[in-house]
Amino acid sequence: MSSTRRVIRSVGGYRWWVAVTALLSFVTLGAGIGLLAMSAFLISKSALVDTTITLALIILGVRVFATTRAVSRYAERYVGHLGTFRILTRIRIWFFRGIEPHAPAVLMQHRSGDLLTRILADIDTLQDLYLRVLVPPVAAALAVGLGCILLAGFSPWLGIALFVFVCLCGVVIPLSMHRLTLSSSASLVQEQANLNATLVEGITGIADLIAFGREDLLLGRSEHITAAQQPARKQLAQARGIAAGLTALLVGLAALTVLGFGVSLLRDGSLEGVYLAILPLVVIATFEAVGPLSAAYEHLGRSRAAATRLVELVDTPASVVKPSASEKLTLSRNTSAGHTMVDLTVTDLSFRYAEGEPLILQQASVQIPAGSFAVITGPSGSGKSTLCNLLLRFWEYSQGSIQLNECELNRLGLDEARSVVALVAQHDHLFDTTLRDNLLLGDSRAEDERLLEACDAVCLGDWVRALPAGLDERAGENGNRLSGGERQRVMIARALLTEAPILILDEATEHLDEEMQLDVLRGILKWRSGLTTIMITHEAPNISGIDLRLQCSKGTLREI
Amino acid sequence: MWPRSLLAEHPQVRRWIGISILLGLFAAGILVAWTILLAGVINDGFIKEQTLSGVLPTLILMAALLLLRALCIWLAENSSQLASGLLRRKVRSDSLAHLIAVGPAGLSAERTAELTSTLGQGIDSLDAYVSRFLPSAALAVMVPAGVFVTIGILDPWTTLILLFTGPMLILLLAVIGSRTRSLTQRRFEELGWLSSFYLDMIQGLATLKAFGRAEEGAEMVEQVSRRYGEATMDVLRTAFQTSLMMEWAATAATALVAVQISFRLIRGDLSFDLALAVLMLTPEFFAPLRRLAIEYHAGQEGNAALERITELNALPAQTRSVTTKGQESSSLGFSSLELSTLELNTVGFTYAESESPALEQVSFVIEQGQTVALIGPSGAGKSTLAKLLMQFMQPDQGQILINGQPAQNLQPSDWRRIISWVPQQPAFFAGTVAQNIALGRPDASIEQIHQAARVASAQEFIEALPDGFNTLLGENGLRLSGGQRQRLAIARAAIMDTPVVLLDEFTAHLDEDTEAQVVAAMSALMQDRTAVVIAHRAATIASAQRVITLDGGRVIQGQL
Repeated sequence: MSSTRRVIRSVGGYRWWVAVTALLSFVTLGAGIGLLAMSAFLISKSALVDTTITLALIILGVRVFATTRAVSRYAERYVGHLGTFRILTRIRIWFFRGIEPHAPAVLMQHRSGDLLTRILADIDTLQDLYLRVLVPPVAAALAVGLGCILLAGFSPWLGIALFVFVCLCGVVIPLSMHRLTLSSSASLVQEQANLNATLVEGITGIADLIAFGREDLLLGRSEHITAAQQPARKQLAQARGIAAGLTALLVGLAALTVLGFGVSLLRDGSLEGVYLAILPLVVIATFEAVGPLSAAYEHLGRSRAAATRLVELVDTPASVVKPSASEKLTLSRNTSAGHTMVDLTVTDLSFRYAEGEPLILQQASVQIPAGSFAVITGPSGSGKSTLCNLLLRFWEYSQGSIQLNECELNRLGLDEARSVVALVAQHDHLFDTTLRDNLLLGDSRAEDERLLEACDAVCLGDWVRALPAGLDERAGENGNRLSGGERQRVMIARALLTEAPILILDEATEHLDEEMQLDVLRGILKWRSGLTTIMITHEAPNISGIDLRLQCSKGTLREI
Repeated sequence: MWPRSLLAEHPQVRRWIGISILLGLFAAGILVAWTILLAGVINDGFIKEQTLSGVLPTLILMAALLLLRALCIWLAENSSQLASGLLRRKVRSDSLAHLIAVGPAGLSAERTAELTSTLGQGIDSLDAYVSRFLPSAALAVMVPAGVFVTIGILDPWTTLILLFTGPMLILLLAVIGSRTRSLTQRRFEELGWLSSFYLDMIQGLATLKAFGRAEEGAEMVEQVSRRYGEATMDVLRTAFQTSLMMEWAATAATALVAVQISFRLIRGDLSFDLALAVLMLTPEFFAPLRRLAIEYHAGQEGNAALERITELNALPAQTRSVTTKGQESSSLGFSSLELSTLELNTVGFTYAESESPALEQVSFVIEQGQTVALIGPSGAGKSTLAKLLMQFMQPDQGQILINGQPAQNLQPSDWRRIISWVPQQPAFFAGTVAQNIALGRPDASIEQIHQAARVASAQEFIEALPDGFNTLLGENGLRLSGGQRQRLAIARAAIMDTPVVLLDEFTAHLDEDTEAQVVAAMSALMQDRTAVVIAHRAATIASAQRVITLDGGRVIQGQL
């Protein structure tokens, strides 16, 4: 199944709407044919000084067709675009849901500018698929049918002649142009993604580029991409020019052929002179439906390339296997003092990110009973963060076991697993919205007071209260309006609000100076008394109340 | 108006557009002649009752005209593509070069994705503006004028109708155009906003998942997509209304002409061939105006993009970055990289959006080979000082002096040979680990790269990566831990071999073992060199020969 079809089928609901738009388009085109035919007929009748009642009727017809045409064109465009935007929204949701399982394991292999292009520009490109690829052929088929039947009414040969020209112009040109430009269209879509990826990467890292004198990575590369687009754009313009020129040529030739036929039919006596003017004008009006077809190829090529980029990502095998309904377990929840108690048991866990890569975890085993405060230390690269990735079900594990209250982690629903474990890691994201919205991610029902309490726990309450806009202060792109320390504490406060049975702090306090780090830790432990807190760090904090000290080295864990 | 000055700046673009318009005009002229001939042939067949062979020569002449017209259309398409291609490249390079000159400090209030969409799709929309809107606008004035004169010669009475409706349509177009202007502007802003939103969602998808809120993300995608669709529909609705009015007025005028002509035909005031020619020419009078109404939307989109680009180009340049080639010549005669003193002399800086200065009267002298720690609470002005030292912005007051000479007098390329930078959150770029280490020295040998990695104690973990130094590093730094990213940044600075190194909280992420290694390696490297360290941790401060304490933008301790 082609990728365009795959996308169309996935979102569905387009058929009735393509039909309505095509029908309205046909009414517009039909009225155009009627208008020109009627006008020509009117003039011809008048030339014969034929003042019968029919003349008034013809004038009425001209008026009716004129109004119908204007109104139905408006309706066609309005309905067409409205429907398209609805469908595009559906495609966006489909795509977002489709890539969600791939974060972060698969998505991190793509540049974010490329992903942005997919969800934005590539999906926008599909707009043309509906309006300029699917609708016009249907409308054109109907209009051509009308035109051919009208001409065939005078003589079958006229209808056939029109049909032959229409096929040349509406089928042969588009198909050959499509074949000719397919690779150009695809490369243009790809280059656009490359350009956006370069721009996002370069603008984000602009300080580093300037500091190291490598402005060319932004400027030179994007100039290079813009230049690389040039041949494809030229070829497309070339094809567009040829198609437009040929179409204009064929319209004229069709009109001349039909006219020539008409003149000889006139001499045979099989055609009345008064109809002669109608013939070329019907041809010209019919071709109005065929013109858009010669441009459809370009849009088809681009839509295909865009759809392929969407499908390719959505169809990547998921990084984590969801348990089937029959295998799915529910966590037994023992509560104590209002808290859900969850014991964490890791047994002989081994893991590597990909075949051929070294083992990051090697038969790691650990038991962390509910409610304890555990500190895991170890050099960077020893597998601490990998353990977090597995606990959050971002990657699948197959050797060894991770159990929550004696229930295997990978047989829990993904949402349930993630509701048990909360993580604060260095690469966590702060959204470009208010502090409140960022905090609400932890608990969507929390009142402002509760949010401020969480901030107080991480020694951030006074800072927030002192901000001009308070909780409404914006965090900036990935929290870039905050200092490193503020950013980390907002992320911790957000995680505290979840009240998850297990909270992991993965190097989450490293931007704070020692005194602040201890204050924040005390706040966290007080907030989470009775719940499990695991702190991953390079250096165990000098704080009382550590129940369990673990050393992580070369993929194994051991108690110290 | 901007577009006009844009064209004035690019004479080549103007020339190609001119050629395209000329060709369009020629094609229109051929069409007028062809139409008159067509009316003649119909007249010959219908009224003069000629045979096919009698009209054949005219038909052949008309076919030749069609061929010529097709050629014009083809060439016009090519030359407008040339024009837009030239313009697109030029505008993109110029704007990017300017953004680099504005630098990270000046762009801190801008959104990455919005800039990306302006420089990507925004500049691409100039394509439609230049290749379709501008020629259409010119032809919408010239062609109707030509058709008007032709009809005036054939039948002066009809021109009365055209004289009445033509200017009315132009007026209509202008009125509605001014209405859609602000709508188009809003839609363009909405697009920038939408880009930022999606980029934020993509980059934060893993975080959303960790909090079990991916489904809400999908809902937000839907809302935002719908809002964008509505903003687009607002613009399109007005554009369609314009089209409706144009279409209706044009067809109504055509119908009026038809009726008026038919009555005069009946009365014998007009010959059939003239009547038919006038009837068929009347739509050609309106066609360019209708086409302009259709292209108007594309034109305004390009205009909105241009306005945003103008706005960006008006941002003041704050860095002194190398954006043009040929600036390599040294102004200070820095043949060898010698540095005796780095001095700040009463340096002050106030951010545009702030009232109180971020730095005030900061003065100190650093002698060659010293390691100086800059400490102070957050908000003390440490990072402002770092930005000034990196020349991402220039001090409002005072000077930075190198060997007693103002830093402003140095070529930017010289400045980079003096100071290298280890940022707090280093950005990496698509490429291999080796390429990222050699960021500032693209011509570095493998030996030098390995040496730099050794200095930063990064060699061990790099060699453990799947492809060692050739492992591809994404913009997010693959799966590197915070400490690993930091050590890559150190290696990247080490390879620069500059007399001054600026380290921004560089030991914040390192475990004690590694930190000790790095500090040792760095101090070995820093022998006879100067290091400015913005620090939190005691370990770094301990190795410093001097500690300068900042608070509230002033040096409170350690000033010489």
